[in-house]
Amino acid sequence: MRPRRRETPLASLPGSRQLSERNWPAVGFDAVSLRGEGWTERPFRQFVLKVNGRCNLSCTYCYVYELADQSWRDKPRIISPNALGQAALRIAEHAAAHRLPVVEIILHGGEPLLCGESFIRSAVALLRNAVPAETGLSLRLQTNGTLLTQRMLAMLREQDIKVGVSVDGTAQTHDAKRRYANGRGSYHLVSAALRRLAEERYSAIYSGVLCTVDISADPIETYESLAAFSPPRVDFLLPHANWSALPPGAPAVRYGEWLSAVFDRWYGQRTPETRVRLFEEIIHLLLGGHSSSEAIGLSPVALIVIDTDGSIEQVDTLKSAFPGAPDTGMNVFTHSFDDVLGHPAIMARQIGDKGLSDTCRACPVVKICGGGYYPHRYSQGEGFRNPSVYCEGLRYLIEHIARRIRADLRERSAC
Amino acid sequence: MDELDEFVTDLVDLTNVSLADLRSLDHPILTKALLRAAEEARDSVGVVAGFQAAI
Repeated sequence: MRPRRRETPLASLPGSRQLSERNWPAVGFDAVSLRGEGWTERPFRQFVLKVNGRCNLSCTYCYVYELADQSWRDKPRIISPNALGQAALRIAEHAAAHRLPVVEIILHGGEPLLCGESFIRSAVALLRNAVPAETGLSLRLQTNGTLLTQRMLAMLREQDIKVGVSVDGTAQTHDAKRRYANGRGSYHLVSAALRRLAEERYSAIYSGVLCTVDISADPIETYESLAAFSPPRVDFLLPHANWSALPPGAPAVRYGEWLSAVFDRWYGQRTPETRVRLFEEIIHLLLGGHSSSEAIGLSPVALIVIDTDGSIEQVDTLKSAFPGAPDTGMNVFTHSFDDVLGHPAIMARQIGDKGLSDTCRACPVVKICGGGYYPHRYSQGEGFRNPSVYCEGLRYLIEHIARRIRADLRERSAC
Repeated sequence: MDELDEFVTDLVDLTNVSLADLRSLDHPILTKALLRAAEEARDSVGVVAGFQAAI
């Protein structure tokens, strides 16, 4: 039976238009009108489960430890058995209520492998037992790669957990940011782990690599150093920034130029070495499709985060905006995920272009960029109803890709 | 001809690209993208129509 949703107090708060615009969606979100128009929430399908709240690295740009939100200090190091069990029940409840054919659970941190093999085995057994038989369970794990030993890989393969590894390009670029607290770089360990993961026997669990863009690095060299690990997919992540904490190093358009250079290198290959999610999603959106990534496009957000204390949070990269930004005030002990669907901040990310600024809604590429990644839209005192701080870069990249695709289609049409 | 092929035929009508041309694009990334869009568009928006409207 579908759990009965409770309205969150925030949803019904009145406010002046000025107050609403400046604090939207926390204040002034008109859920009643939306529902009156027939709008309904979309269920969550991806659950980021923070099994370990600490990390063995001290990356310079980490949104968990190094930016505005420092809430990790007050949370348990490892998720408790109670919180884990309750999270599993809530996910199962949500899957059953919405008859979800599949749910994806991403074991995350901090560094999830700090939990150790036996903990992960037990956690996975618990999750598998909880999810209804008619719902498929896709398990993933995002790691910094430093603890990805042969033994750990064997366990992950046995448990059918797909693995994504964070690596920032060349050794020099990577070690400048992804390092231990004593300043020592992590590339030697991560590259060794990626070579192991790229072995044929682990192909079923090799999900891909995640690279945070550094425009001071050469784009082609960065791409080729990632492709050398034979990842099935590369995810490029723009550095966490917003209108109150600007992107590092250069105007936003430079990020578009940098990514366009990578696009040309990737797209120009007759036999592509790998998939690049950002580029594939932009092409798909240009062809009239719907995005399956929350970083781009107007598709409703389907991802929610469970922290080590059982608290339920929005996408945790919001920690880069301001302290408490991802908080919903709910947790798995007292709230269902249907309750969370009624939170204005979640609803604001499920209503397509109605959740965007007037500037975005008037923009010709809004269906493609979708206003950009939600945390990148934040401005202190103005909230989230702004274009992405990477707006110029995204538009540059989208138009660049569109020109290439259009030229190719026209060339074929002329044949 | 399966359902996807039928849709691709509709798609190529929009772009004046023949089905054979599409199959022999010799561009795996573009071919894959077109087929993904075609598959998704069965019950939503037109593929190249969507592209043309977007830009």
